[in-house]
Amino acid sequence: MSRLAGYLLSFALGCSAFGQGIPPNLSRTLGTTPPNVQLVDTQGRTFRLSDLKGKPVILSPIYARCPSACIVISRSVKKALQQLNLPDDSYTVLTFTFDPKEGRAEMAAFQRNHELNRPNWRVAYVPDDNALFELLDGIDFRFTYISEQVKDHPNLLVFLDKEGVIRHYEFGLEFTPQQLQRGLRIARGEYTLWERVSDWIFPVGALGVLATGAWLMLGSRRRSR
Amino acid sequence: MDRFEKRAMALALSLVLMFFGLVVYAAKGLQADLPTCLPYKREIQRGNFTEVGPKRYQVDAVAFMWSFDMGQGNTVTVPRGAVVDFYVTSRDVMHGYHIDKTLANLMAIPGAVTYARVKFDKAGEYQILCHEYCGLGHQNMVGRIIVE
Repeated sequence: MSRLAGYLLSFALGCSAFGQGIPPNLSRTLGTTPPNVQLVDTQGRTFRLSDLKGKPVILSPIYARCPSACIVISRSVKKALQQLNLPDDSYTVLTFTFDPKEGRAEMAAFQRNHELNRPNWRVAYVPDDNALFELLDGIDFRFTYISEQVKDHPNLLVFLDKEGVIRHYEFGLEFTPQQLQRGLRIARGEYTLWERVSDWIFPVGALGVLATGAWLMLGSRRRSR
Repeated sequence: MDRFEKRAMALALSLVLMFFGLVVYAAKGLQADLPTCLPYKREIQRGNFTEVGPKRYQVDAVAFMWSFDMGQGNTVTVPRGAVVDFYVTSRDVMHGYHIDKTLANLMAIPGAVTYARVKFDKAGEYQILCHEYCGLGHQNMVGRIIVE
């Protein structure tokens, strides 16, 4: 019974995760490099996105005053990474606020309240609003203004490879170790056979249908002669 | 196969190819977004116009017989280069929301919200037209976006 309740809860959370916000257009972002914007972390250190090159990066756009989803996302990522127990120097997590009205104080409070203290986890904000929206456009992250306190947004993580190129998105509210493992694997360039061929199935199938139609027509013409 | 049947099939296949090519061109060449019907229930009771960032705006548009409420009446003014997110719904019957000279072409549906993002690179006046017949005053149902 408790297992059934767990499944139902997961299903409900999954539905709500997919049901929020405007999904990014992956065909425009995968394989591109987000703009090299300047960020400031909660220690006051200034850095650029390019400074994180050299290992996979997990981008987590959130807003600190979020009453629900962003807290669940950050806590689940923290828990999943603890379970995976990967070496700290094998990846970086960058949690940043997409709300231009939030800065160091809000992000520091968010980091403190949710204990995002791993050495490879940076909690930051983009001080320049133009640069912030360039970064959001670069990952096609669109949020909806509901009120000063509340924004609707997609629940996602973006995985960059060691060169800073967008390689993968994971969607959800409660991220699992499997999701993070898959994202980091793809960010390392390790694809399964299915991941390599899945993008080609539709165009190959469409071409097959057209070719079959043409072949049937030509065949019937020959037979009718 | 009959000669005319073959021609009809060849025509159908050619049209499929042409439309497929146009879809790819729209997505890749014109960078057109497909109009999105938001996959969750977000109720918009009244129009709203919000500046969410530098040259970033959000318009919550409520269509009704026979005008648009966009928070500032049926007209909004934005600077050149503005990126505007439109969230459109209807208060009564089905309406349309087509922004002239752009690729934004949405339905205004009671109980649902449709979405499009438009970047206004050229200054000028953009008419918003209801392109879904909605009653006696349909032809008067217009709005405006002024890009300065």
